[in-house]
Amino acid sequence: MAKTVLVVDDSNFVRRVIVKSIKEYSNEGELTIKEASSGLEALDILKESLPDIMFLDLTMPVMDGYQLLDELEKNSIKLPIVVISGDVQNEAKKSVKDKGVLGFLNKPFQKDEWEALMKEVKIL
Amino acid sequence: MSKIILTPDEFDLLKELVNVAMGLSASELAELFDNFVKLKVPSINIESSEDLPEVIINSSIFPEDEEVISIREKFSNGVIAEGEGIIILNQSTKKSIIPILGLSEEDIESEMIMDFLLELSSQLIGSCLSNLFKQFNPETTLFGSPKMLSTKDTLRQCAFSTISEGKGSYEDMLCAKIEFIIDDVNFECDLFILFDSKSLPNLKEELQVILKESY
Repeated sequence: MAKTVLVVDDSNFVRRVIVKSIKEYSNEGELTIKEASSGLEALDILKESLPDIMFLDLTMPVMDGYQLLDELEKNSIKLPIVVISGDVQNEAKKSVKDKGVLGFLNKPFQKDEWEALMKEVKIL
Repeated sequence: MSKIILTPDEFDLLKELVNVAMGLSASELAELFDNFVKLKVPSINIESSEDLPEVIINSSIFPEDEEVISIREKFSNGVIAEGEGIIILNQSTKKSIIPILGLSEEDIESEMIMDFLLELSSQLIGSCLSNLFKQFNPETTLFGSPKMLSTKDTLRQCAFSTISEGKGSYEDMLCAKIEFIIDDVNFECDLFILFDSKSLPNLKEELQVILKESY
């Protein structure tokens, strides 16, 4: 069965770069990639079905990444999450790791950083 | 009307680049205050210089009748853009730096606090712009000395008088607005980055290069 991925970022550019990186890296063959431009859009998608992995930005309009993580916790929704964010504060990393996030990638990320994280996460 | 228009994709990319630069600056600010800096999505618009005061009033974190301190610093990255950064903060933010300097509330008007505010503003403007331009090219960005524009004007007075004095060099301008908020110490400030109209063609070209690489 094809793996599903959810990419959540308010920037079209970033979503395109992440989707391209996923396709280049993955050995999974067919992939279903969904996209959301805010935490709220992502929450709607997650309520329908859970992807195998979600890539999540933190600074977004409407509902940011922190708020989405809170909502997931509140609704007992669990799934593998990788945060990709320009918010590189240590406190930001600590707070999302405390919420069970698998990995954190600083923007802008390099190919080797992406590959190292993907090897660690072992989902795609 | 603006002669140079950025496409939605170019705006989106520029916002993302500013977002990354803002995140790095916030990290430095967080270390200084030993506290988490709350960030919002930056806003980016092309504005006519005549509209600058209203843009500042409408998008500032502070109400228009609040007494603010404003600081300006000019910058130049020869390859891409020239312009200025403007920091606006309020009296609570000024008070928030007292413990960092080991002073007491009686020292609120001391020269040391104003010097520190200048230094802090310069650091925020410098860090944000250097980190922004690094994403385009490795050229060094040069900065002028930070200049205190106002210390006790309301935001409205500040926007219409002092800040608009510098608008002569901008016909249309690209205005990026960033907010830094540290709830625990009542630190709030606006950073407006103004790129002059001559910078827009260069900026557009650089954005197109990055966009092409992303496909």
